[in-house]
Amino acid sequence: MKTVFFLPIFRFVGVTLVAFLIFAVAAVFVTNRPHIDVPAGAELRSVNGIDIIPTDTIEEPDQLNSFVKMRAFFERQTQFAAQLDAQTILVRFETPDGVQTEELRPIRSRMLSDLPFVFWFQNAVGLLAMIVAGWVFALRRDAGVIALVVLSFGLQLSAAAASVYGARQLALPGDLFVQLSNANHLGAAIFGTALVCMFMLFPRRIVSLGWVSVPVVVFGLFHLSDTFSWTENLLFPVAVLCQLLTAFVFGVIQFRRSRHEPVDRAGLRWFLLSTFLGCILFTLLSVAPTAFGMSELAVVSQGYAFGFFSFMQVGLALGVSRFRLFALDRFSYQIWLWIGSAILILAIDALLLFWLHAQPWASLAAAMFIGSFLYFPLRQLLINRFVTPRAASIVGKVTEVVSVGLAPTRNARADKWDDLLHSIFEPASQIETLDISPDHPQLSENGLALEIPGTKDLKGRRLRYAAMGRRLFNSSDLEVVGTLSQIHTVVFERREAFETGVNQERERIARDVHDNIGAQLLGALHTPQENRKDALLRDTLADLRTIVNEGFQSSFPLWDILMDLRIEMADRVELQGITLDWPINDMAMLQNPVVPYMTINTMRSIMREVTSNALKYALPQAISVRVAVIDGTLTLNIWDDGSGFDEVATNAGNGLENIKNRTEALGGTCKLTTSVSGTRFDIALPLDRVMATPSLIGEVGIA
Amino acid sequence: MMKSALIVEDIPETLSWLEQLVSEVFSGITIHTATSVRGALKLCSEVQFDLALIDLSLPDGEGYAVFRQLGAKQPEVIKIAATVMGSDSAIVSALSAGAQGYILKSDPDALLKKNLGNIHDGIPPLSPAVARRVMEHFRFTGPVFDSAGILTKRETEVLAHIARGLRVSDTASALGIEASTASSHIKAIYRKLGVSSRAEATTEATRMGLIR
Repeated sequence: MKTVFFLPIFRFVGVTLVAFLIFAVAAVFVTNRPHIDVPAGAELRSVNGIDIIPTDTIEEPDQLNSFVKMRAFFERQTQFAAQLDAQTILVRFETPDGVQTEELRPIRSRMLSDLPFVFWFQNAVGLLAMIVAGWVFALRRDAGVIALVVLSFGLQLSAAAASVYGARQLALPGDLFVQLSNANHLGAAIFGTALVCMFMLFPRRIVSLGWVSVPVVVFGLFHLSDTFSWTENLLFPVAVLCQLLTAFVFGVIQFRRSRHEPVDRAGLRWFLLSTFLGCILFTLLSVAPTAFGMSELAVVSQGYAFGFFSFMQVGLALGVSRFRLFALDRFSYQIWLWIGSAILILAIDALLLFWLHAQPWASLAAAMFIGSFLYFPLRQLLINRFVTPRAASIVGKVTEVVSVGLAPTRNARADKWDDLLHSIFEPASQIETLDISPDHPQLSENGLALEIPGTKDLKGRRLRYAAMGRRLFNSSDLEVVGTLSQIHTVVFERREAFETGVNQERERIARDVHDNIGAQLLGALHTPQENRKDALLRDTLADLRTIVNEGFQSSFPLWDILMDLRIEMADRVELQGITLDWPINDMAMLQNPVVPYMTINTMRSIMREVTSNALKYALPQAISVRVAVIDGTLTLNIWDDGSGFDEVATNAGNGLENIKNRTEALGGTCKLTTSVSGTRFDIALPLDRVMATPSLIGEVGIA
Repeated sequence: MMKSALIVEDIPETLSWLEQLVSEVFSGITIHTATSVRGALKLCSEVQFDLALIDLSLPDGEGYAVFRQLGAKQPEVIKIAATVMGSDSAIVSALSAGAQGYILKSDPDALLKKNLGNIHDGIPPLSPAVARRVMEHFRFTGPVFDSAGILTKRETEVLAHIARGLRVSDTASALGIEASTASSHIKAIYRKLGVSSRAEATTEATRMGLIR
C-alpha cells in the first residue's frame, strides 16, 4: 500500500484533493448564510434602521491595524448578523445609478450565483498554487519541494479564509469571523515561514535541516502573539516583512551558489524573479499601505492582490518546464498534458453542449453531424498540436550533413559534426564526447540525454536537454540521429574510397611513367647509334603524350587506339616510299573492347619496333598489318616483303627481345619468322586476362 | 611566297632546330624569334609575317594569346601550333584560337617538313585523335552558337571519316570529292571551331580538358 501511495500520480492526486477540499469548505461556509434579496449591484446603507458605516464593509479586518478597533468591528458584525435571523428585513440600499430606496426585503439562503467574482478569483489562485505544487511534488520528494507544498497550502488556506469573509453580504457572526481571520493569519504565517524554509533548502541545501526550526519557532511566536493579542497592534505586517527579507537573502545566496550551473541558474532566475515580484507586489499594494498608516485603504483590494501570487506559480512552472528546475523528468510533461488536455476537452465539450442546447433547431442528427465532421477533427487537431512534442528534423540540413564527411581533417569533421548536432537538437549543455559509445542511438536518463554511437572516424556523443531543455529526447530523435549517422558514414566511406582511388590512380600513372618513360629514356641513354637514340626519344615523347592525353583514364577503346596507330605508322613508312597495307574495313569489323593501358602500350611498342626494323634492315616495298579479336585474344599479324634480317648480326636483337618480354608479361605470345623473302610477326595478346584485374576507380565512380 | 616567319619557342636548342627546319622548307625566308608570349606580342605589332610557328606552353603564359593577337592584327598570316607534350585538347584550343594547323615537335624531321609544306599548300593536318576531340567539341557546343558555328553535313562527314582513321586523301575518295575540297572542309571546320569557341568559357573548358 505504501509503495502505491508514493507513486507520483498519487502524490499529485493527494495534494489536488486537499486543495479541492479546502475550496469546498470555503464554498460551504460562504453559501451557508442568509442573503438579503436586493437588486444586483445594490449597496446596503442601513438595516432595520441601523446605519452601515464604511468600516463595516471593510474587506480585511487586519487593515484596522489595532486589536481595539478590530474587537469593535467584530461586535458590530455580530449585531448585524443577528438582524438577519428573520424572514424579511427593512433595508435602505443604493443602486448603481445612485437611487436610494428603503423597503422591506425578503431574506433567503445564499446561492453560488450570489457570490462576487473576487471569491472565485481568490480560490482559483489558491487552487492553482496547490495544483502546481502537487505537480512538482509528484515528480520530486525532497525538503525543498515539501516546503513548496506547505507554502502553497498556506497560500490556499489564507486565500480561502479571506474569500469567505471578503465575500460576505453585510456581516458574519463575530466569533466565526474571528476564526476565519485566524485561519487567514495561520495560512499567511505558514506561507511566509515555508517561503523562508524553501529558499534555505532549494535548489541547494544552504543550511542543515535542523535550522528550519528557527523560522518555524520565530514566526510561530509572531502568530501566537496575534492570536492571543499579546501586543497592542497586529504583528502580522511586521512578520510578513521579516519573512520576505529573510527569504530574499537566502534567494540571493541560492542564486550565487548556482553560478557554475547555467541551466539551474536560468531556471532559478525565473523562479526568484516571479516569487519576489508576487510577494512584493502583494505586500506593497495590499498589506503595507494600511499596516504602516500610509493609507486608509489598500491600493489593490486584498482579494485581487492574491493574484500576484500566481506570478510565483507561473514562474515556477516556467522554470520547471523551460530550464528543468527541480531536475524534473518526463512525468512533468505527461502530467501537464494530462491536465491540459482534460481541461481543454472538457471546456470544448461544455461549450458545445451549451451551444447545441441553445439552438432551437438542434436535433440528434445535427449534433451527430457537427460532432463527427467538425468537433472530433478539431479535437484531434488540438490534441496533436499540444500533445505531440516537437521533433528534430534534418530537412534543409543536407549540405551540413554532407560537409561533415567531406571535411579534410578528423578534427574539422568532429567540429562540424558537433555543429550539426547543435543546430538540429539544440542541446542546452556542451556536447560530450564518449570514449565508449553505444552500438545504436539510445535515450538515457529518462529522455534527458541522447547517446549517439561513434562512426569510423567520429567518437560517440552524448547530448543533453533537447531544444534548450524545452523538451525530452524521444524515439523520433533516435531515428533522426540514426539517419544522420548513416548519411555521414556513407559520405565518409565514399570519400575514403575516392581518395584511395585517386591515390591508386596517381600510383598507376607514376608506375606508367616509371616503367615506360623511364625504361625508354634509359634505353636511349645507353644506345650508341645516333639514329636509334633519336627514335627511342621520339617514342618516349609519344608515350608521354599518351599519358598526358589519356593518363587519367584507366582503359582505352581499342578501336580508337588502332586508328591512331595506323595513321602514325602510315606517316612513317610512306615517308620512305613504302606502302602500308592495313585495310580500314578490316578494323571496322572489330568490336571496340575497352583495353587497359599496359596492353595499349605494348601494342604501340610492338608496332613501332616492327616498323623501325623493317625500315632499317628489310627495306620492303610494302608492309601489311591485320588485326583481329578472337575469343578474347587480340591477334596482330605484321609482315613485309623485304629481305629479312639476321637477328643476331643486327642490333635489332634488343628491340625484338623487348617485344617478346612485353608480350609475355601480358600472358601473350610472339612468333617471329624471317627469311630472304620477308619477315612476319604473329602476336597474340589475351584481353580478358588483363581485364580480370578490376579497377577500383570504376567502382567508386570517379572514372 | 613566304618572306617572313615568326617562331616562338622557349627551349633554345629546339628553337634553332625549328629555325633550321623552316628555312629548309621555305628557302630565303627571314626568321624572327621570340622566347616568351610578351616578346611575341611585341613582334606582332612591329613586323608583318607570312608564317607563325608558335609553341603552346611558354614561360610567361600560353601561346593562345599570340594566336588571337595575330588573328586580329594580321589575319593573312598562316598560324601553326607547335607542340610536343600538348594534349589533343590543347591542340583543339589552339585551333579555336585561330591556328590553321599544328605540328608535333617529336615527329621525325622529314615528316615535320612534309606537314609544314602541306599546311602551306592548304592541306591542314588532322589526326584521328584530334578529329575525335573536334567532334566532341561540336557535339557539346554546336547547338548553342549561331549558325556560323555549326558544321555542315559534308564537314561532319569529313570529320567522321578522319576520326575513323582515314587520311585526307582517303576521305576524299571515300566521299567522292577532290582532295582539295576535303582540305577546304577541314579548314572550314577549323574556322568554325574558332567561331563556336568565341565564348571564352568554352575555350577554357576545352583547354582544361573538361569538354572531351
